[in-house]
Parts: sequence; structure tokens; C-alpha cells
Amino acid sequence: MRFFGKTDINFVEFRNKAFIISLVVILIGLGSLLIRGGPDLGIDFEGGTLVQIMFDKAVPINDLRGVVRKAGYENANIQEFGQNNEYLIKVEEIKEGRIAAAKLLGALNSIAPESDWEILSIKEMVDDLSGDDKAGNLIVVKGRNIPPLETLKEDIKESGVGVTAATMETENRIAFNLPFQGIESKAADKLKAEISKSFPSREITVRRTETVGPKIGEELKKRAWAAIVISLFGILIYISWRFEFRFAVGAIIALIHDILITLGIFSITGKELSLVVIAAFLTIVGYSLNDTIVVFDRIRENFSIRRRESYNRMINISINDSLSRTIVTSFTTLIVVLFLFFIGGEVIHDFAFALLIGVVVGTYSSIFVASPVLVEWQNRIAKARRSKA
Amino acid sequence: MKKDLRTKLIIVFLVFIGALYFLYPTFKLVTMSEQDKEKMRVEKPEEFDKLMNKSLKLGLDLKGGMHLVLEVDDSKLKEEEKKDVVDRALEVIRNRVDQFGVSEPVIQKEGRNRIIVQLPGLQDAERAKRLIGETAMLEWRLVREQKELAAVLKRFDEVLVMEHGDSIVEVQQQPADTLGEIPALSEGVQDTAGADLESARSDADSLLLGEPDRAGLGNIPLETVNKEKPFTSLLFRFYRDWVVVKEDNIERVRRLLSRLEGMGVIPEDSDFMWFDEWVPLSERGGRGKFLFLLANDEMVSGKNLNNATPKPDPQAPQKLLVQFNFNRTGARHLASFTGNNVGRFTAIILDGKIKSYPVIRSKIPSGRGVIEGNFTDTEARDLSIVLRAGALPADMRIIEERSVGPSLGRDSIRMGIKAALLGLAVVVLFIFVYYKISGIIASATLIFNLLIVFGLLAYLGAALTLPGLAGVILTIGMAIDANVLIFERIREELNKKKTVRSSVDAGFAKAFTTIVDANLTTLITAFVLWQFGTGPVKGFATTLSIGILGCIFTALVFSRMVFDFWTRSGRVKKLSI
Repeated sequence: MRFFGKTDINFVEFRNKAFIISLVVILIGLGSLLIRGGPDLGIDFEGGTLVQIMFDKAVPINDLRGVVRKAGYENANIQEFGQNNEYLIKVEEIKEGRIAAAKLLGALNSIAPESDWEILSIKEMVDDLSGDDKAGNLIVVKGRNIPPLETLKEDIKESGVGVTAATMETENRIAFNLPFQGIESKAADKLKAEISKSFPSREITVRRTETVGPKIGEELKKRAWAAIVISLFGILIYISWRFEFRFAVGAIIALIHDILITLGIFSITGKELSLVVIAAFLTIVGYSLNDTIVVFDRIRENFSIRRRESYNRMINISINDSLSRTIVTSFTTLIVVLFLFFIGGEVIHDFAFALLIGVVVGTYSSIFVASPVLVEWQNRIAKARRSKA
Repeated sequence: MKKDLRTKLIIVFLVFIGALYFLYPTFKLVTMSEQDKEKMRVEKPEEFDKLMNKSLKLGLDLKGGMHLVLEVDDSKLKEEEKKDVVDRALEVIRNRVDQFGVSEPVIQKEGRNRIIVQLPGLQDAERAKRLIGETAMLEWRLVREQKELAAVLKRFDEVLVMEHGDSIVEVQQQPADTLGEIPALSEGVQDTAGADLESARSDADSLLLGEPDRAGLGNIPLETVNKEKPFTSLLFRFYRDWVVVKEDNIERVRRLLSRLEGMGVIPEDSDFMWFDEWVPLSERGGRGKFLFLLANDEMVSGKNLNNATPKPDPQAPQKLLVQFNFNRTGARHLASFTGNNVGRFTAIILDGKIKSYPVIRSKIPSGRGVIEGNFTDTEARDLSIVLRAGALPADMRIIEERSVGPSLGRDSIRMGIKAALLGLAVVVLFIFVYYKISGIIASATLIFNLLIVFGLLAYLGAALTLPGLAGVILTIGMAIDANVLIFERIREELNKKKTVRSSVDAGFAKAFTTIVDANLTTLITAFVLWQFGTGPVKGFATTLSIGILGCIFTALVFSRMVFDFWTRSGRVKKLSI
């Protein structure tokens, strides 16, 4: 059996329309991102707490919302699934810089009350990947007749406020580094306690809780970026080595295209980015690349055996040659991803959703984006040569 | 050619046997009934452990359990204490977890000052966090006598009047609330009972003028009741060797104390400390707290404990207390400490909180003592555990916590396996319809690849996580790709009217570079994911990487071998593809 025999569809001719379609989809996504002020980051990156709870019988969401408010989380995000009996509650982490600053000021006032201490700025610093230990709350204070820094630092430690570093900025200004306090909110415990108190007749199962401190969140954000950038860079080098630089550029443009579209669709559908979703993004990168390489490989091969055809024609032949394989592989991958999406369960749902978009968009981009970029590249070079001559 | 085929056969056979061998323990464990497992656990624990160890491990997100990342806060420590603080903390936590009784815990250092704790199958997350994070620093400290305390308080008044006479703000309170003349305080020394306390002074309505300043970000005003005695006028009365402070004034006293500390007026050898429980002061509901002056030169630390156990309180058997035993060194310290201070009060302090303040009736030579508190069963047991395991050398902060209930883990496994099996079934069916007998070879390749993935996971001891399971499912879809590439090439060659034999050869040869290039680039992203990911994501990267490698191997070696066997005689004139 086969879907179709030897094809000769003019994909290359279609490229301008394809570029416009892609551009429109990407712009819609970017527009949504712009309106929403960037992608919706989950607690993995923002810090915060998530509690997934299951009741033995349905409980109205408004009742639960009231209880969560009673526990002190006015702005909690509550999501329901199942038959009104399973809920996901998300609470954002409070920023702790102010708390740390208040503590520091209290200590300073008790150590040297006559200095008229004043807080100038509070900033939460995160670890960069260099491994220097700079993370923490950076608090700059002002004061008169400041006592010697070393003794002041020791005194602050003595009074029970942790200080990792202190530097004199000017004669009457000091910058203190205070360590992050970590999770003080204990939101998960409070939520669980309040919910089991408020629904005494219901059997409650705590399915999952996750709490991520703001420091870890920032770190994970940096790691995710690093992962995406490094893998794109690695790909650029590998393809430049195995093929040519312009192939690498074509592949990277296609990958960025895929990621932007997926990101846009996530934004439009209001889904959050979590660590697992980023993993899915990188998988999309891998998958789409797989498709692209297969076509590229064919292009490389065709160039080495038939030199008489035009550049456009060669690329078109190559896409058509590998079309059958592209469709079959996309189809089998799509099948398993669909199963994952529909019956894989709630936890993996967003992951599967990202893959679903990725498989479709990745297949499209390897045909309509990556190879046409080569054509454009070639045409521009030819034009430049002609105008020179 | 023939020799080449034999080598391939041997390699494939070895890999196959190897995969089965590594998967056998998992198979045995899964097919064993719960009773058999329990029986084996009891009767042959070593064999059971070995079986568990060699089986495919599940990540916490599938098994259920708790994942904690703790950060050691060494910012309050001196330089020389910082050096091995993480290792010491790790040791203490390991001790505690061991005594807590969780099977297969993971406790490891990460980075410079972090510790990862994984407790599979744990139910009570709150309790575990308490048990791990509690510093458990136990101290016995001598309570300063009333006359010493009185002298210090008197000096406070003098210093405050002298230094801040002008800036003191008076708030109006009924003078009857206050302590009165210091020299006349001896009445408090008598061992008055609690009842006496309640009726001691009239708890007149003590109205504050103006809101107390709680901002914390401004300067602290000096508020007091009587400008002449700025400190003592805020105190309610003496009681035994300590003072009682009424609720309204606690915040003011706290502030004054921290200011006085800054001025260096508090004696070097002593510290003020509050008893955290409220004491009733009158029938009308007024309440207050005790404020102690504790010696920091006469104390016994809990470092030398060698045992701690929950015991019923002999006075009130329904209540629990925790009894602890010192080792020889500790017992000697305690004996001399108690021997020198008979008749004096001591404070037993746990993690900076006064737990009780017993009077020393006689010398304690046995090295045994108790901690009182309204403990519940679990609290008493957990406190015993942390005392036995020793104190943490520094404060610990939980910076990440993830826990998955066992029911969700089970659901995830069930749904994941269902998705995998259905996906596999449909893919196998489709590939058979599309490529006929060659499709069956492709399916065999796929299943062989899955065997390799799970076998290697079991061999490496890498945990299968939920994203990892998703990675396996994805592998099902993607691993077929290599075969598709080959088959399409063979079809092309056949269309050129080549013989079966040379079509197969050419198909494999031409697909070779494509397969290698396509998979190696995917491997790059998988490797980056593995490098930067944590926990579940790492699991995903692991299965994806193994899947890719397995895919290359099965397509280029196994599948090739089968085709070679099939077509080598040259008798196959028409390839079913």
C-alpha cells in the first residue's frame, strides 16, 4: 500500500505563500504574547505552590474557592477537571525582599540606633550559572556614622539575621547580601489543612503538591534558556559540519519558526509553560530537525548525482522524493502523540499538547520553511553575483 | 558476506539476551503477587533487596513520594564552621531518615550547599519536613536569680533615661499595671502558685493612645508608661526568678530589649528569652508571657545525647514527655551543672525555644532528663528521633518540594501504559498494512528497541519517570522512522527494476547516512536536556537518548540482518514491501 506514487508537487513555488501563512500565524501568536505580557510561566519558573486535590464526590468550585480564600490566598488559580471532583490550586510565591529588608533594618536599628538607617533599594538576585554565590536579596541601606563594617556584619549575624556579604558603597551606604529565606509561606500545608477542615464529610486525597522557591524558579528559567540556546548552537555546528552553513541556517530558522508557533498557540490557549513543556519544546526541536535532515540529506545526495537541473528544481525533486517517508513517519508519530494527549492523563496533558502542535508544525516547516530558505539563499547569492557582474 | 552475517547474528543475539536478562527481575517482581512479595520480604530480605535493586526503578512521580531540595544556610556561621557544614548536615539528615523508616530514600549533596532528599511512598509530607528540617539544638541553661535580674533591669532604666531621656514617649496605662519599686520586689520570690498570679494585680483597662508602630521600616520610638522608669514600668511583676509581661507591652519590651542589646547594656554572660506560651493573668482574660534572663556561661548542650525516647508523664499519664540520656561526657557535665545549682531554675531549650523551666531539686548523676510539652504521640516520637540523630549544624531551608500521592502515580502508570499499548497496536497495524511482511520486520524492530530501552534503564538503574514514559511512547512513533526511510529507499530501487538483492543493499546503504545524521542531531537535543534538566525531565532525556541509540542499532543491524537472511538465497523474486 502507499498513499501516493511518485509526486511532483511544486513546493518551492509555493514558498512565498507559505512564508506569509507562517508569518501570519507567528504574528498572531506574538500578538497574544504581547497582550498577555509574555508567556504564562508556571510555578516551575515563577515560584509558588500547586496542590492537586481529589474529593470522593463532586464539590462545587465556588465552595472550594471560598475555602482557598479563607486560607488567605485571594489570587489563587483554581482549575477543575474530572467530574467536578478534582481540582488544581495554584498559588504564587510572595516576594520576600521586603521581609528580608525589614529584618535587616530591625537588626541595624538595634545595633546602631543613632545612625538613622534607611533602606535605599531591595533587589532579588539569582544564581547565574557561573556558580558564584551571589544569590540572595541585595539590600542597600543608608546611615550616618556607620560603625566598622566587619564588626557590624558580625553583630548582625549575632542578632540572628544571616548575611552573606556586606560592602561599603560610599561612606554612608552599605550593600548587604542576605540569603533567600526559602519557602516561608507553607502554602501547601495551609491549603491542605483548611480544605480538610472545611469539607469534613468528604474523603479527600491529596494527589500532588509542588512548591518551588523563587530562587529555584529563576534558576530553572535560566537553565531552560541555556538548554534551548545551547541545543540550537550545537545543531548549527553539527549541520554546518555535515552539510553547509546555509543548511544549518535553514534548519535553525525552521526550528525557531516551530518554537514560536508552539509558544504562540500556548499563549492563545492560555496554557502555562512548565519544565516539562520546555522539555517538549526541545523534543519538537529534535523531531522537526529529524524531518529537516532527511530532506537535506536528499538534497545533498541529489546535488551529487544530477547537476544539470536548476537549484529550485533540485530542491523540489528532493522534497518530493522524501515526501512519502515524511508523511508515514509523521502519521505514526501523530498516532502515538494523540493517544498520549487523549488518554495519557492530566499530568502529561500539556506535554502531549505541545508535541501535538510540534509534530504538525515540524512536518510543515521541514517542507515549507527549511528547504525554501535554501532556495532564497541561493537566489539572493545569484542576484548579488549578477548585479556585481 | 556470510561471516559478516554471522557476526551480526551473534551481536543481535547477545543484545537480545542481555536485554532479557536485565529485564528478568522486573518481570519477576511485576508478576509476583502481593502476598508472595510480603513473604519474600520477611523470609529472604537480602534476596528481596537484590530483586528490588535490579528491577526497573520508578521515579517519584510514578511511585508516589516526596522530593525535597534543602539549602544549608551557613550565612550565620563563622568561616571555620562553614567548611564541612553540608557534609555534617547530610549525615544528620541521613540518620534521621534512617530512623524514620522509609524504604530506599535518596539523600545526596547537590552543588555547593544543597541537599536533595527523596522519600518514596511517603504519605505525611508535613511530618517528614519537620523531621528533616528541625535543627534539634538542645540546651540546658541556668536561669539568672531574681536579684541578678533586678539589678540588670534597674540598670536598663538608668541607661534609657540617661541616653534617651528626651525622646521617650509616654503612653497612658493604669499605673497599677506596672512593676512598682524595684527594691520592693522580694514578695515575688515566694513560690506563688499560678492561681496567685491570676489574681495578682487588677488588670485594669490598659488603653493605648495611638497605634503602635509596626512598620518596622522606620525608626523605633521609645514608648513606655513611666518616663522615670522606662523599662521596668512596662513589666507586670516578678514571678520566681523571672518577670511577667502583659500582652499589650510585649512588643514594646521586645523593641527596648533589642535597642538595649545594641547599646551593649545586656550583660555579656546572659541572654533574655521569652517562654512562648501564654499565662493567664486574671479571670477577665488578660494574659502575658514570661521573660527569662538566662546564663550563657553555665549551660549543658545536647551534643552528647545518646538516646531519647517518648515516655508517659508520671504526673499525668495521659501526657507524653521525651526522656533523654546523655553519654558519659554529657552525664558528667550535667552532674556538675546540677550539683552546683541545686535549688535554682534551669531552662530546657530546643531550637531557641524554652520548652520547660524546671527547678533543680538535687544533683542529677544519671545523665537523664526529660523534655515536657503537650506532645502528641507522633510529636513525641519525632522529637525523640531528631534528638537521637543529633542537631543540624546550621539552619536548613526547603527551596523546592514536590510530592506525588501514590494514587496519582498509579493512575499515571495505568494511563501511560494504556496510551503506550494502544499507540503501539495502531502503529504496528498501520505499518503492516502499509509495508506487509516488511512491516512485520519493522514492528519486530520496534519491539526489540523497546526491550533495549527498558533493559538498559534497568541495567543503568535509571528511574522511569512519567515524562520518561512519554519518551518511550514517543520512541514508538519515531523509531519506526528509520525503517520507513529504508523501506522507501528499497521501494525506489525496486521501481528502478533492480533485483531484490541489490535493492535491499542499495536501500540500506542510501538510508544509512540519513539515519545517522537525523538521529545524531536529535541526540544533541536529548543530551542538552539531560545536562540541564532535573528529575523527571532528566528521566525523559535518558529514555529518549537510549531510544535513539536503540533505534540506530535495531534499524541498521537487526533489521538489516533479517532482510539479509530473507533475501540472501536470491530465491525471493518479489519483496513484500
